[in-house]
Amino acid sequence: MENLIIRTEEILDSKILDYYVETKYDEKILNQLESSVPCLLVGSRGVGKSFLFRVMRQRLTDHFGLEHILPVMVTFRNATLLETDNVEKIQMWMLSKITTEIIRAFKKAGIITSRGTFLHGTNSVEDEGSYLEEICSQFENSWRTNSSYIPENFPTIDNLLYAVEDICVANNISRVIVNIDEAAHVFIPAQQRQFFTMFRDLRSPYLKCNAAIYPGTTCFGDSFQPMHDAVFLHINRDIQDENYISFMKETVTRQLEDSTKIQQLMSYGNNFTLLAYAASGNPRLLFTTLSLVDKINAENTNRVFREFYRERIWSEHSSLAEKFPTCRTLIDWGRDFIENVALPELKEKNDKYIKGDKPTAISIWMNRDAPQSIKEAMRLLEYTGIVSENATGIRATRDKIGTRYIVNIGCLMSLEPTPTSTGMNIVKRISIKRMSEYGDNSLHYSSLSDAINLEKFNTNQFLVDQLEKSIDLLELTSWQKEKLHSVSIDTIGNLVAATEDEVMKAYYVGNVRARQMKNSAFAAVFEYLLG
Amino acid sequence: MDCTELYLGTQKQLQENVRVSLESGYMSEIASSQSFIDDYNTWVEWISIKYNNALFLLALSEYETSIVFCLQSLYKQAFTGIRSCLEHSLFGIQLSTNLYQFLQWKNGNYDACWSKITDQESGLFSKPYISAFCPDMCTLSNIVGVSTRNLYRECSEFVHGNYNIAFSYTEEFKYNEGNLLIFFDKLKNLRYILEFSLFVRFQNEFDSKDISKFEPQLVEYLGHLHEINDFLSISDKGE
Repeated sequence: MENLIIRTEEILDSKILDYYVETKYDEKILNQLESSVPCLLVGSRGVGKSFLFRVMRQRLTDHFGLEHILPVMVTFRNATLLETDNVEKIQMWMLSKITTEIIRAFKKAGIITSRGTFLHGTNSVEDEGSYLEEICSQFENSWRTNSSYIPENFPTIDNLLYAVEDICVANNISRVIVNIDEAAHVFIPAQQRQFFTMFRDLRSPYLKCNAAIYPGTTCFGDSFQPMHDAVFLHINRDIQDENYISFMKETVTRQLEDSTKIQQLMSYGNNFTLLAYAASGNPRLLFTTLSLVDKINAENTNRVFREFYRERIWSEHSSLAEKFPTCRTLIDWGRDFIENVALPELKEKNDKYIKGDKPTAISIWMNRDAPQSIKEAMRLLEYTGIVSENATGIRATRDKIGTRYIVNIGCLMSLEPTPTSTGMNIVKRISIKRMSEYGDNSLHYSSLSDAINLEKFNTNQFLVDQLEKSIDLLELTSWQKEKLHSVSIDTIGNLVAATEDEVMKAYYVGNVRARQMKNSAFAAVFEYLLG
Repeated sequence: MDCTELYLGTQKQLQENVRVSLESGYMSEIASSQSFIDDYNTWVEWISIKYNNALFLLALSEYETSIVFCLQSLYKQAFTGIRSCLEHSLFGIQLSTNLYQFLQWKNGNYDACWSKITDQESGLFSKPYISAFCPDMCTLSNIVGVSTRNLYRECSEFVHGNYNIAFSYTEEFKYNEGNLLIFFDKLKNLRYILEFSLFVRFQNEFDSKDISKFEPQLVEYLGHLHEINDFLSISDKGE
């Protein structure tokens, strides 16, 4: 099916609202994005983060005369221009980009006008707009020069906030909302930490920021506190929602101008429904799979499952190792675990359940005391959409508590010999409560060593600095810290490098406490492992 | 009534037309049109480093005054300005590709020729030309070429005084919503054509800092083209 637009950037502003299919879920997210509270929009690739930003921008633009809220879109690109060891330059580059887009938005709204014109010459009148442009110019010049000297009167974030406030007050604007797309993806982790420090500070009664991030691969740094500095909005479309299929259908048909194509789509309704479920709530996956074939007849649909959900989606996950080479072990383990353990187990169970006319399973559960490295591997799987975190604090067998993940249904269905014949049997009777459970010491974790060899990371100065910090900075009890010191585990690096057995040499420390201590250390360094 | 009274009275009427236009409810279209002046100026300043930018400055002045004419409800003059801006810009691009033609033009021995600019075999929207400067945009050559020729032809009706246009101008110079909207629609087309043409011609001379400078306007006017997103993404990887 040709000409489906897969990426949001390719949709014209004039069409964006035509393509938007309103749901209560999305409206709730949009209301939060339009509020005065900074939001982090979290979702794997293709779920619709950029799309919702664009919808929000278009709506606020259309209603600017009534609501006086000015939307601004920023997408970070060309991050490779930056010198990664100079944190001030990184911040200047980000601020320059944000300020440039704020100025463009003010111009598009007619609030400020072009400075140099044929009719008026260079406008020498000092006004709020010229002050903001002067700040932008200084940010711009700062990151472009080779000098690291920053003069005394150099503008700060506060100056930017004051400049925006002056313009808003003078023009009766309620607030400016800056939506930052690809907020972390293009940055190396060191730059991400700088970004979130800036994100936290870019806030005033007249300006706030939203940012779109991926789960699992975002580094917040130490000064940004996720619980306090932003509201997290997770985009997870529930395939069990009664309106899910109609939503996906509408999302596709709105792009099809040709009624013949719509007719054709509807004539293969069952196969479309199957592919919609296989996409697991991710519109881009659905568009991508539909664009692979002309007609979604049985033969083509089964081919999609074979070629896309059994091969291509996995190679995309494995290619993550090129972006995060230090996490190759985690990435490979994650693929191996889901592809060769979790999915076959679910299929085997479902075959029995279906025969016995019982509910089927699409979720796995992991004990909250599983090694941190395992949890980080699962988060990397979330990034590529292989799994999605469904809920935390879920009770399983023997009253243990853990996290429930839903696997990509397309990957699960691809194990069927003929998905078009049997795939709907799985989907029609899903029970989220049926889970394949993996305890705190599952045998499947053993291939991912609990002791990480840190020698290969000694060129990463950020990581080295983090590892040299004392364990006293970790979120452990005084007693736990005392026990670690008693066995000469004094730094975070010592604790990460030690095995659980070595930690258990401390008096009265069993395997549960050893696991907790190691998890704390690993959580503190994981984002630095990314780079 | 003497001349002074006549023309001051005219100015008052035009001022009233501007007021009505600004209060018409189309401020976003007016502001979007006006904001392009800075974007085009960025091109003008960049071009001046290596090439002569006289024609581009002229084009920019035509763009700016066409907005003023439109707000004054002088719609014929406004559409004429769009045509002039288009022609000057594309002629400027053409001369930047040929030093001999440029020197001939400078000496007064060579004029703009619309048919040459838009020639389907050798003009600025022909496949050979776009293949030479920006092969990735070749698939768009036909559609942008048609759009350019249509825009020029439609605006030319005002320059040549075609019957249908002449007929509608027996009326007084007053605000007309229909004409205002047609103007903004054509101006939007103009911006797209200019950004496309300037990008095709000059993108292979960009360094990384230039890409950063032009990125906001490329995303705004051409961002729906995957070729532009690919270009910016490839630039991002430092290739």
